Amino acid sequence: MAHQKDRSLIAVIGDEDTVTGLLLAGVGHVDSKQKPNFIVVDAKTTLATLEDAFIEFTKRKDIGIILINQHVADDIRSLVDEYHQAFPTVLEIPSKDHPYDPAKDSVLKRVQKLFGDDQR
Amino acid sequence: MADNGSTLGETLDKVDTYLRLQSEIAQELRKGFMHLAEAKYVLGPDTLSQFSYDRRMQASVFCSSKSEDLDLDAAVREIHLDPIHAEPSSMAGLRSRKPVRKEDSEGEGGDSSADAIRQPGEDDAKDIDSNKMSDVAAASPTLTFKKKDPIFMFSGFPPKSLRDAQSSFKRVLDIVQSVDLPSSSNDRM
Repeated sequence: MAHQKDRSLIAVIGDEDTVTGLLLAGVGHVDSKQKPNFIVVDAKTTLATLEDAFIEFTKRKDIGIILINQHVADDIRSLVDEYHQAFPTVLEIPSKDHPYDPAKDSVLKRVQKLFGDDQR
Repeated sequence: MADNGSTLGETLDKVDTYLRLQSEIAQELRKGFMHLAEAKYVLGPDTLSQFSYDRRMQASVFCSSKSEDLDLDAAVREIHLDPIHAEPSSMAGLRSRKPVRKEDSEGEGGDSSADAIRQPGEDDAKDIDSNKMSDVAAASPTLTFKKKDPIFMFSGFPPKSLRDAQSSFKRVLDIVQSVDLPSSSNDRM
């Protein structure tokens, strides 16, 4: 089991502007096997590619946080909502054209579900 | 009952903090996107695109761990050798000014003209070596490693807008680091 200290990279799944901006900040990393820790999602990106990228990032032992645009997360909503691992942490962030909507955030949905279960 | 109440209170506090931090992230991202758009206007849209990404890029920002063993500075190194303190062999043969010694000028007034004329060769090399030894002893060469700033992936002379965009996105990462996700306590859920 990978130690928490090994999970140091920040992965990004988002549109070109989000990925470019975060790469500017220094999160971009291409390992020795030419595998990047980011993926640019555009109109040509298929759902299968997106799902595979998300699953791959969640399985990698060197990633600690996954930043994903909320509108991209909406495309794979079932996958994101079913994700319950503590690490890597998945954080939904807004994009340039799509503001943040707390109602869609998987983290808040889990909290809501928790309160909903308690009330029953 | 009291435990449930305190847990509920803590969870609500965390949710409140989480929403506040999300709002801050959104604000910084808005600024970042604006500066990025400005930089695209200056540099051209193709310069700031996925086709400009360096396929060998290495991360310079990492998730910070609370462990004190993790040394992020270990990831920042640059080899830097002071050119003045280069190896002695590279200085041999080069002409350099011989320092004027007072005892030479005062004590040996009857120097012949031949002796007064500097003879390049052994004497100079000896002087250089002796000077070098004292210099090397006085100042140890620095040895640090440095990773390339990712901004140079897009431009050799980055405009101010691109630097502002970089600052905004770096602030986003700082806020992300401080988010204590309720998902980290998944066991309770």
